[in-house]
Amino acid sequence: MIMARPERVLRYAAVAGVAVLAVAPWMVSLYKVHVLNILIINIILATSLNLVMGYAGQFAKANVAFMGLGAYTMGLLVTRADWSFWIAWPAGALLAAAVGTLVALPALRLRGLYLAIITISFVLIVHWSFLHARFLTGGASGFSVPHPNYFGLPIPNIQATYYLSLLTLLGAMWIVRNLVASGFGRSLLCLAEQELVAPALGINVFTTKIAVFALSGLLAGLAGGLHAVTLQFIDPQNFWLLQLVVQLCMVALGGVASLLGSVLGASIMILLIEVLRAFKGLWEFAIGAILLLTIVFFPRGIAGLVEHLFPSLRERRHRP
Amino acid sequence: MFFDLLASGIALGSIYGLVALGMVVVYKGARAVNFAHGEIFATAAFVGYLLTANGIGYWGALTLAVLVTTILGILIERGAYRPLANASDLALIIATIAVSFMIKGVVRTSYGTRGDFVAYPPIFSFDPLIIQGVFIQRQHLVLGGVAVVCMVLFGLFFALTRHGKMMQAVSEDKEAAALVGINVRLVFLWIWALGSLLGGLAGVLMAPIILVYPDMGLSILVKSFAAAVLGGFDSLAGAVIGGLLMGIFEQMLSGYAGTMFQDIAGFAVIILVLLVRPSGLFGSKEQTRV
Repeated sequence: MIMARPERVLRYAAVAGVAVLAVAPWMVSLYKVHVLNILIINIILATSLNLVMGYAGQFAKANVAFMGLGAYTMGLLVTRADWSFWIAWPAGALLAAAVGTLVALPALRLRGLYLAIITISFVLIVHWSFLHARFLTGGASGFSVPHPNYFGLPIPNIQATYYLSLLTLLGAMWIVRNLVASGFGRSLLCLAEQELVAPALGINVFTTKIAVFALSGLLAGLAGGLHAVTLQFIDPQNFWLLQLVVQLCMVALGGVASLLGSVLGASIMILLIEVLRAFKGLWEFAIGAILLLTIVFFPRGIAGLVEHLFPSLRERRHRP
Repeated sequence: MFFDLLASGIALGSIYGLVALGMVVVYKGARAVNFAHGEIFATAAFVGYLLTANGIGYWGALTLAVLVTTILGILIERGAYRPLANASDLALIIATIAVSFMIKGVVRTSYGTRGDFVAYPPIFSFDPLIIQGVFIQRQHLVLGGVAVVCMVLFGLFFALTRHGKMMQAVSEDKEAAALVGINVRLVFLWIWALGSLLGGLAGVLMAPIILVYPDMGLSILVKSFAAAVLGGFDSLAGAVIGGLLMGIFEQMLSGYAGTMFQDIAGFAVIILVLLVRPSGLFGSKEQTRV
């Protein structure tokens, strides 16, 4: 098959983007490395949310809770139980994935609005537990988390964490990209489009939903752990409704069911947050306005617009 | 103690019922869940505060603040609902979340240097009424009373007037309503205006017994959501009864188990109801169509 030009451009752009991210820590200040790191973590989060909300069409928004569980589990194991970060981090992500499978259970029965309400409630309950389990979590004041042990790697810790996030992102993108192009990806698509038809086509709705929620939880849990060691601090404020809406914005603005969308959405939102950081009221208004305009004028987000202009960029649902 | 808690639970619950009623009206009539409903409540409280701070009496401030939120409801209908009339439920949910952030941003900016928490002047003196040994706050009595009167008036309006019947017709079947000559778009506008009116009314009524602050919309949203879910999301009577039960449950929980549980009562109700009986107490069963 002859590759269409825009697709080649996109591929080069992706390679160039990764190359830029790989050398960036040597070019810019440590603060900017920190911001880029936050950006990378948010791309992972947007990908994780997009997996459930976009690809599988389940209007579940428990991601912030998964992220929080990953962060708190990692942080508590490291600070209270003296575990190494390298064991505590995956442990936190696995716990988030396990909770993800639990959240998938109501999703078997509820859909649309009700699923949204119950998952939002779940996020707020998890946030409430972080806030009130003071003996464990330090309540609203949170607790500090040390840098991971990089075994004498001769670069600053901030840069090392940055590369860890970048590697995690690339791994996550690789897995999700291959997954949505597989039979599993097409089952997800069927769940999103016509859930009642899925069983008739021999798709096991139960295992498919559980698997996609678990994977989403795993990615969000990994991102949560990275977020904690990047900020070197964990407090409940980061796992609240605002974070949920920001992630929702990333997916809606970037594009539902699109990896490109997750990348673009997260980048624009993080940039916006950095620029408007000083004006709290204004930035809430800006987020709301952007989200509303996107939904009204570009229901499929920026990626939808790009794919409309260059149909060859449409994401593959099968292996080439 | 039990009866004290019951009394304040009923008073607060009637306000939750009022907020939930506004939400259910919009859901039943326009098939949209208004996630900005809490912000409408908060806007009314803040506008009412500004007016009373500038020397306008309680009832005058109430009327003007409710007018403001009614207009806000019309703006939401025009700006966010109408352009998305044929879009998915998901798009509508996201749109109202977006609107809620826009309103919250504007309100927060308007607080300016006032600080984050302001106190609304009370309607009456603070000494409570004691009836048969039960403590009842005078304000609770008035607020609960006004809320109940409003709900009854609304029920009569919905059941008896021509406009109310047109709204019923549109919520039953909008194509058929259009076919018999009802201006469906105009009815949608009324539905949003009316829903916001109810939310705003509750905001000004409740403001004197709580602090007014920019983020106050969230907790009322959760509670009235819980009330609406408990009552069944598409039942008007269910919203009112759900509100009362929610108020009583919350007061009992905070009275006997500790105030920190007051925040979580709403979530607990939502999750339990959705897991056990998603259609609530009075709601109609959701049908799945291909």
